[in-house]
This record gives sequence, structure tokens and C-alpha cells, in this order.
Amino acid sequence: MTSLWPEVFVENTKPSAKTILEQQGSQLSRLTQGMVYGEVEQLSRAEIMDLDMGIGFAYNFNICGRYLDNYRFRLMTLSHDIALYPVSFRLDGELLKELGYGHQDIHTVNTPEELEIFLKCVFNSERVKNVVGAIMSMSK
Amino acid sequence: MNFVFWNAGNRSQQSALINLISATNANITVLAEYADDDAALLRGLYSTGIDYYALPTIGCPRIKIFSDTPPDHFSIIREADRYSIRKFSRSGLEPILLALVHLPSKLYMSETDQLQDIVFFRQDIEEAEQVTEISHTIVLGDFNMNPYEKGMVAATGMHSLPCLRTALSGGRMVQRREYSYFYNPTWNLFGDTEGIPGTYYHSNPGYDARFWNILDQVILRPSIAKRLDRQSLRIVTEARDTNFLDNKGHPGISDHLPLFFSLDLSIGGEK
Repeated sequence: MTSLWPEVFVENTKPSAKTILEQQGSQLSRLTQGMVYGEVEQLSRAEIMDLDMGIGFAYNFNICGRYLDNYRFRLMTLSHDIALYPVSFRLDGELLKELGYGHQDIHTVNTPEELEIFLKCVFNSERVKNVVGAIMSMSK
Repeated sequence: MNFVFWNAGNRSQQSALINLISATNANITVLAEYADDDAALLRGLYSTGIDYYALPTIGCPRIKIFSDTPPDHFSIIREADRYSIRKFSRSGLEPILLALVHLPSKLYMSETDQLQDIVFFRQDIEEAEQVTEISHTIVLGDFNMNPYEKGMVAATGMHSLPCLRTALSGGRMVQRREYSYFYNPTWNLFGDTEGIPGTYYHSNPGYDARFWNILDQVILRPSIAKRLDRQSLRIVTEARDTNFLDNKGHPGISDHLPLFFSLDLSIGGEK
């Protein structure tokens, strides 16, 4: 019988949102002399079901204070299926307002390039600057 | 310890707050929609003999906390824009987690969206309980839903029950997953046999209108619920010379009325 498969398979080399956010979390630590860092926290199956976020993968992206007794600020929650993209984001409410998304709190990106543009926008927001600044000030 | 929560309605409320805090001897005062100057309030309280502190916040400017206990006794564990979860520990008292919340109104969100927000909140409370190894959790605030609504009752939501005896069983399995209970004593404030029947009044022209709502609530883990003085839980309508009602008997100086309760946190103080 002839093969019904394609001639070749190409590995998906797109960087996942999780990888990009982990890298950005480390960048934040470098920029703040280790006082503040970003953490990607994987949600359990039960948590994903409770949140009705599909059947794929979901993560919180938290901004954390290294010297603040386990402090975590949940900036956004993201989810995607096995194909990595598109990625859906649920954002902090203050950030939604600042970025002009109104009450439409799900934002979707389709490629790593779109993701980078989106994250740059988020990380440069006044909201994020205020949170990071407050953690730095309380860490001293 | 005495607790007060009030959604101050984004209006200047300094004299009302001073009266509220002094009349109730509140040790911890939590405010939503608070628009006044912290320093002016602290000065005003000090001039009446009350030494109070304003607690700093990082990511939750919607909730403001004042206390007669210095801020270093409250460490912030988890926050999002609509809630702040703090560990309160002080010598001679049981350490507790205080989860303080102001959820979005139905004016801006459907009940389904509200339920999603409350799932995030509940998950963060559970994470905080795990990290701190504290199960004495008190959740207080403006939930923008009534005690009987899905978000407050569903296992995936706050899972808060009106019956302490049932809540003391700890939790239940749903679809092979375990969900722990909160006890919601605020149910006891419904009805008009005593006091005022809600914290928020809304006259709705539609067929389905309840008029009085209890959007401001306290719920407690069963492990700490027995320490609540259930008789103390009340909706505050007046404090010294401040009347929180208008001439129709509805919330006046804010669209919400304050909530007060008292809890025995002393070590070994369980009833």
C-alpha cells in the first residue's frame, strides 16, 4: 500500500509563548538587579477546566518580588492548544483600560512576531512600570 | 478583632470614615472605591485618639486597607487588579490570610465573565493557602454578586455555603475533583425582620427585581469560621452622627452600606 503520509514532516520551530515569556521574565530580573522577575506558572488540568479555557495549555504570567515573601502579581493568563499558536490572553483589568481594549478582555495573537509586538506594548505600559516600581521600592 | 468593609462610592468620606472606624472600634478597615487622601484620614483619626496606618499596595489600587496594626504585620502574597491576598500575623493571634476583593459590576460584565474572574480569585486564594500553609482564610469585599449567585455558591467559584454545620465537613468531590468550602454568614442578613435587608439598593424597571442586594460579604474557611461572633455581623446604617441612609432609607452617602463583624483571633480562642 502506498504511504498516505506527506513526503516529509517539518518540525515546528516557532518559539512558544511560554519560552518567550520565560526569557522576558529573566530579562526583567536583569533589569532590576534581581529584585523583580517574571514567572510563568503552568495551570493544572483542573484549573484549566474550571476556567473553561479549552483543553490545551494555560499559564499565568506573574510579576514577582524576590525579597517580598512570595509576592506574586498576576499580569495575564494565556492559553493555546498543541499547535502553540494562536495564543489567547486574559489581561489585568487596569492594563485593558490603559491599552484601550475596553472590557473585551481576551486578546489573541497568531504568530511569534505578533506576540513580541503585543508583549512590548504590555511591558511598556504605565501599569507594568508602576507595579515593578512599587515592588522595587518595597524590596529595599 | 473588629473588621469593617465599605465601598465608599468614590466620594469624599473622611468624616463618615472617622465616625465609622471610631464607632465600631475597627482594627482593620478595608475600603473599595476610596477617593480620599490617606494622610488626611490618618490625621483625622489621630485627632480623635485613633492611631491608624495605611497599608501600601503594589498591584491592587482598587482596595485600600487601614489598620491599627503596623503594615509590617501584613505581607502581600498574591495580587491582581481586583484583589489583594495578605498574610496577617501578630504576636498572640492566629495567623490568617485576608483575601480582599472588589469584583466587576454586572454593568460591565455578564454573570459568566464574573464567574471566570471569581475562579481566578479562588485559585489564587488556594495557591496562597498552600504557599503560606495557612488555612484560616477570611475573604471580604464587594463581590458585586449576591450570596445566592453562581459565583458565590458554585464549587468552581467561591463555594460558600450559608450553613456552618455543612461547611465544617470541609469540602466535596465534584467530577472527581475536590473543592473546599467557605462559610458565608452574610446570608443571615437577608430579610427584613431586623435592620436593613441589604448593602446595596437597586430599583430595576424589569420583571425580575430584588431591590435590596447583599453585594458586600464576608466568607470564611470553616477552620476560622467558629471564631466569628455571628451576632456581631451587621450592616452599618449609622455611626456616631453619620447616617449612612438617605431620607428614603436607602444607602445615602455611598451607594453601598458598610459591613461590620468581629472575630476572636487569640491563640487558643476557638469556641
